[in-house]
Amino acid sequence: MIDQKENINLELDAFFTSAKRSVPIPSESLKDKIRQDAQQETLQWDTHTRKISKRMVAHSF
Amino acid sequence: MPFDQLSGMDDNALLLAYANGTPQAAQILSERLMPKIFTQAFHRIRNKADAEDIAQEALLRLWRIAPDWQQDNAKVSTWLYQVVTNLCIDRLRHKNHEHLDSIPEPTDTRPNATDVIQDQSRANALYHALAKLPDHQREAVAMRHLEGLSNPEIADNLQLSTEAVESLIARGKQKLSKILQYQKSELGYQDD
Repeated sequence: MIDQKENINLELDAFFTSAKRSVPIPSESLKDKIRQDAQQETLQWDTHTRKISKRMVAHSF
Repeated sequence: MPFDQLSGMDDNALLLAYANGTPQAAQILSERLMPKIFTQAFHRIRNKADAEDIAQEALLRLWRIAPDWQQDNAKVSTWLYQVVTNLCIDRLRHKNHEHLDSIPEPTDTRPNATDVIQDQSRANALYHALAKLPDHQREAVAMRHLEGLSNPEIADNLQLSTEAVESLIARGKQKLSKILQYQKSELGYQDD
């Protein structure tokens, strides 16, 4: 049983290794886009928070 | 907050720090998580541009949910795994079940062309064989052997016990082995 398991692992290892080697490297521009998205989101929270604060101030008068 | 201190934080703490106005936390999180989700997407979609789109979209959704993220929620990595899985399914549906053979092969600039072709042939054979497995078996085998996740991490992602994951992987590999058996000679196994 152990031998059979080991055989299967050995057989499949070459396939897994080939598939892993065929994964390309993500482009540098992807990192930039992700960084910009993260920055953009915080700006939107700021705008949203300011709108809520203004509304709260207006209601308090 | 100093960069070193941020680097030592876990994913949930980093997301909280980002939500509380520390943009460097997002940078560390994306450096930590992007390669994993890109790889996850690529193994399912087999197209670099699509995998990049999916990685970007998944992280965008993470940034959006950050202010509402509950510490008691699932782990960030588990949440992202689900998002990426769903995005991959949507993308494949959108492409109207485009056949794997019609997806362009990624360009490879490594010098030994024979090795590259052999890798591509074996990878294609593996992806075709994986596609024949039941969903959970396929996911478990891919996470363990293509993405390098541990069995407890896979159990988290699939919401199963570790024992169930071990069993899924063992059965999945047995089936893969049977499916691939007939193609071994065509794939240069006599050279190994």
